[in-house]
Amino acid sequence: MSKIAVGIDELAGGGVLADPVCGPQGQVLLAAGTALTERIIESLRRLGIRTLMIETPAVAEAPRSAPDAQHVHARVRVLFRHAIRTGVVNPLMHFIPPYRLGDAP
Amino acid sequence: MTRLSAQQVVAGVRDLPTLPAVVVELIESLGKNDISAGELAVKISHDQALAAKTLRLANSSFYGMSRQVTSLADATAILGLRTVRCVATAAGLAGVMSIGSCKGFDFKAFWRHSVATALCTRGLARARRMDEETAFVVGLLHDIGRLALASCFPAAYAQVIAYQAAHDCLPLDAERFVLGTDHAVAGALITEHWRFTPAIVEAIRGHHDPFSASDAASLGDLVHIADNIAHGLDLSGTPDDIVPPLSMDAWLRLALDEGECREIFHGTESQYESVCQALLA
Repeated sequence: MSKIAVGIDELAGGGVLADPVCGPQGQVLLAAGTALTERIIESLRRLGIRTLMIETPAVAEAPRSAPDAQHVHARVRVLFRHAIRTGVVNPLMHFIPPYRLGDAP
Repeated sequence: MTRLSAQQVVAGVRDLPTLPAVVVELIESLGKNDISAGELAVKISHDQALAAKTLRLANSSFYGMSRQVTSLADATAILGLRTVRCVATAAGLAGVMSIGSCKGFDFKAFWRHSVATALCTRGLARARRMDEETAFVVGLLHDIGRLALASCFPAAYAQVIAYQAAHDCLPLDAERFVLGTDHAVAGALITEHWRFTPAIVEAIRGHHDPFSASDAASLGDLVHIADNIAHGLDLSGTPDDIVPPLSMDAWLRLALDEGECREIFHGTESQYESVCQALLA
């Protein structure tokens, strides 16, 4: 698997660690293969880590075209049609579209 | 309409293929900590198909290994005893239950939804510091009653599928109307028959109507919400998939905020394809 070094500020789209992240005493903080979430990236930044080794496919996928908002909302209405018909509240119906569209929470 | 009595369902479930001895032992040892790595590796190696599947799953990006895991001893040393046991149990169950012929039953979609729910239940368990191993197994098996009903009563279950398609209703309601019973009840019967722990049996029985004895989230709450998320994320690949009603009680006990939900969505989706391939190949 090929890997590249990526600056921590360029990781907004996430990514998968190609090498483990080690602490000052050499202890493994994160194993290779860890999927980087916003929360993980933020804690690494606080530890002063500036560069990470990232698997290349994740980076190559990053600039893929944004999902179509109309399509996402239409599909969610189909999947959640029982909640819509019955009027039963389902918070997931509100959380999934912004997640799919990459909007800020 | 084919009404099934409780006795018929019990008898049908008893006729399902028995699980390999290794899988039964693994199930019985879930939640116990007194099994050694050596014993576990020996047990798994008795069933070579299971051993191969376990290694394949250990090598999938599910566990994010940077080097190839080539032996069961390696897998145990690197992944840990609990994880290997969970992986082997999952692999063993998936192997046994790929059976049956029921018109309209989409086996591939069934297992894909089960894998998505397993990953999601595990993610929720991690977020709430509950047992991840048991959560994964419960997620994988939550709908096993559907497979059991479709395998034991293929003609009757084909009517359920036809009714559901004609009326676009919830599968659970179609089962209750056509058969007089449902997959949650059948799932509890079969997991009881396979001697799963009572906590697992009850979580499966209650996955559409979860219950908790306290204010804290139960295993049933986890799998209920995970099932909703797996349907909501559209992971089974079925055009007419439908998200079942969400229990607001379970939702409040779990108390997930939007940020946590997104982490769970992402965690589930990032592992989903590789686990499907490893487990269902």
